[in-house]
Formats: sequence, C-alpha cells, structure tokens
Amino acid sequence: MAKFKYFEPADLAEALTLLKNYGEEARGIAGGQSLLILIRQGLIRPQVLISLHRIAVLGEVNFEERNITLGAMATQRRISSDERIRSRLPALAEAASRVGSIHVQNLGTVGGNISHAEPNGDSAPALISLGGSVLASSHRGERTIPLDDFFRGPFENSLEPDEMVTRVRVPLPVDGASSVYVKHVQRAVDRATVSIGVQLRIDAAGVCADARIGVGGAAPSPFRATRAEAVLRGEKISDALIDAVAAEVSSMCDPLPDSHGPAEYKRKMAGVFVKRALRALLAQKRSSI
Amino acid sequence: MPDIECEIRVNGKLCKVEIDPSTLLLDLLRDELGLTGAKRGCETGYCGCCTVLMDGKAIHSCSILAMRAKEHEILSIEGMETDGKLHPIQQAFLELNAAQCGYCSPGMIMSARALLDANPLPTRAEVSRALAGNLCRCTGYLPIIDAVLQAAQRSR
Repeated sequence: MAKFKYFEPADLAEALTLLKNYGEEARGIAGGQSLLILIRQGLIRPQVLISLHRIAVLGEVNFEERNITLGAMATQRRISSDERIRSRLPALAEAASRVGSIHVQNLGTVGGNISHAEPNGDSAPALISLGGSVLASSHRGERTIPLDDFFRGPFENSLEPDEMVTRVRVPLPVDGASSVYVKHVQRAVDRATVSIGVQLRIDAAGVCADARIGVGGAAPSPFRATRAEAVLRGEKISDALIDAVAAEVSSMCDPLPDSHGPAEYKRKMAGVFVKRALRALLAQKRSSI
Repeated sequence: MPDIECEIRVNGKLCKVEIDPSTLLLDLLRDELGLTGAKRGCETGYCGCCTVLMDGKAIHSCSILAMRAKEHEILSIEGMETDGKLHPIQQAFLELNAAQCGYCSPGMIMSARALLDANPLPTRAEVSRALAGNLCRCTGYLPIIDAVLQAAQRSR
C-alpha cells in the first residue's frame, strides 16, 4: 500500500490545524471502510492521513429538543441500534443497517459515508428525505450545508480542502410524520442499485401535508426529488397519485450505467421503489389508526 | 515516515511491533505476528475471509490500519481454542462438514463468534444476516448455518 504520513490528533482543533497545514495533500480518515480501499487500489494517493478516532466529541449522538446531532464518527452500527433513532427516524436507522455487512457497519461512520459521496451510498438518500444538514468545520469556522446541496458528482462533495464533516444534524419529525428507506440490491451486502428515502406527513383525511424524497444510485449524486414532492403535497393519496409521483421521480433520474445495471433499468427501478416506499408508509399509517 | 512502535493486544497477548503507519491490521497479523488464520481475499471489504473481532465486534482486518487497532482487543481464529480444546463453533464446523476448501472458514467462524457472544440463541435468519458479509465460493452455506445453530444449542 502507498505510504503516507499519519497523525492521530487528540482534539478537533489539532485536526483542523493539520488540515489547514496540509490542505489538498491530506485526508481525514473516519472508519476507513471506503478510503483505505481507494488508497490500496491506487485511486487516490494522500500524502497525509489524519485519523479522527481519538476525537471523542466526534463519536457523540445527541438528542436535542428539535434535532438529533450525529457526530461524524458515529458508526452505522451505533446509529442502527439506537432505539430512539429507530423509533423517531426509522429511515436513518434502516439506511445505517444496510451499509455493506455488519463488519462494515461496525467501523463505518455516517460522516465518512457521506464524505465519500458515492452515487449510491446509503446514508445520503435517507438523510436527504429527513431534511438533514452537514456541519463542516475548518480553522476558519463552521458552516451548515444541507445534504441536498452537499454533493457535486460521483465521489465529489462541496467541502474545501481544509474542511471536514464534524456533525450531521437531522430535524426530529413533527406532527406524526414518518419515514422509510428502501434499497434495491442483488445480494444483502451489495451497494444499492437504487435506493429511496421518503418522509411523509399525512393528515387524518389522507391528504399529504408534507413530503420529502431522497434518491440514491439513480444519478451522479444522491438528490432530492423536489418535483415529485410537489406532485404529492396537498393531494389525497391514491394509486393514481403514487403512479404520478413514481413517473416524476423516474423523469428526474440521470443514472450512470454500471455493473448494477443499465441507466434505463435504474430509472425504472427508482420509480418502482418510490412506489414501495410510499405504500409502506401508507400501510403503517393505516395500521396505526 | 519511519516505523512507529505499535502495541496491540492479540488473542490476549500484548504484542509490541514496529510498523509503517500504512500497515493494515491483516498484514500485521499475518506478516509480523505469523497469525495466518485470517485470510487475504477481496481486499475491498466484501468477502469477509479476513474477519477478526475487535472488542468483540466483527471487522474486516483488511480494511483497518493496524494503528487504529491499538488499545483494542483483537481476537483471531488462533485465539478461539482454550486449553487445547476447540471452541464449540469450530467443533460444530468439523462435525457438520461446514468447510469445503476451508478458505472462508476462519472468517465465518469469527463472524459467528461475534454473533453468539451477543446473541447466544439466534434464529436461522439472524445467523444468515450475521454471515452475510462472509462469502463461501464453494457455496456451502447451509452446513455453515447449521453448524452455527448447533454450536448455539450445545452452548446453552
């Protein structure tokens, strides 16, 4: 494997100073489940690796009045096994439990998963559907980037070279909104062919009060299907409406053909899985009445 | 960068080695410590034949720097037997012919160990899920799952 300088900063300030000093040459490493593979395969060659595992604050998960804040180093296993996350933000817990195998979930982190910015990562579509934001820090300060504006193409994010993801903030759902994450795979541990996160708020009359849809695997980056959300909002949910939403999602897709399937197939499957997500949420709603 | 001293606890023993910081845990185990039970497979975190436990949790030793494993407890297949007696999972693998070529077996057994330590009486579905990150190219999955379930029953 290519050699690099290696640091284990004890606190965030030290990590940010290292990023400032080394800039483009450096990479922060969280769980390493993607980064180490890229290095070994020679796809990237950082001169400096900054391991973030000693920075305790980055591993914290905090419930606040209106938000949950995940430290960037919170592992997928930690997220999927947290009872509060499972009950309040099921799309997030489900996405965390679908990242690779248990082995990957034991080390892989939410901050690493989104920073890696693969087109078909699991965390992003779920977090987009939940209205999540990235908190990015550098020696210059902290800024908030909504997840639906974080990605810039395959394996490209909007961080500056001296910045890193420190936290992910997710608003807690209001007024009975519920969420779901569905993933289309060949084998359980595969990356997604496509995956969909949906958060939906339906009133007593069956009218959609609010909807957010995150789509993964069906474009160069995960994206928010705003046009499809507009089709849902304010309408009574029917089979015809669900078909219209699925058609709108498919029309927004711009998939890259790869070993997971040709572009047309992914476009079609994005629609199919949006329907499944919406039906799952409707079934939950009915059974809870 | 010069080699760095790395103290790491493997199978209950504290090991001191000098390594380059780019050394993977798998390479430390195999090349520095001579523990060749964990196998090199896909090296992309997919096949699971390099599985070891870190603080009781299954991880891919090919996807973690050895430096990161400092101050943690590593358990590899070599640490599974006690007083010359095989662990019940190993014994069940023998009895039910759960190994064909055997390349995946150490990883399978370590993933099963992590499962049974956390969940001593898993369902068949739970065993499948715990082993989903371990590929067997001889495709002998059914006896492998049977063996894990038998080990769980025997250990009650």
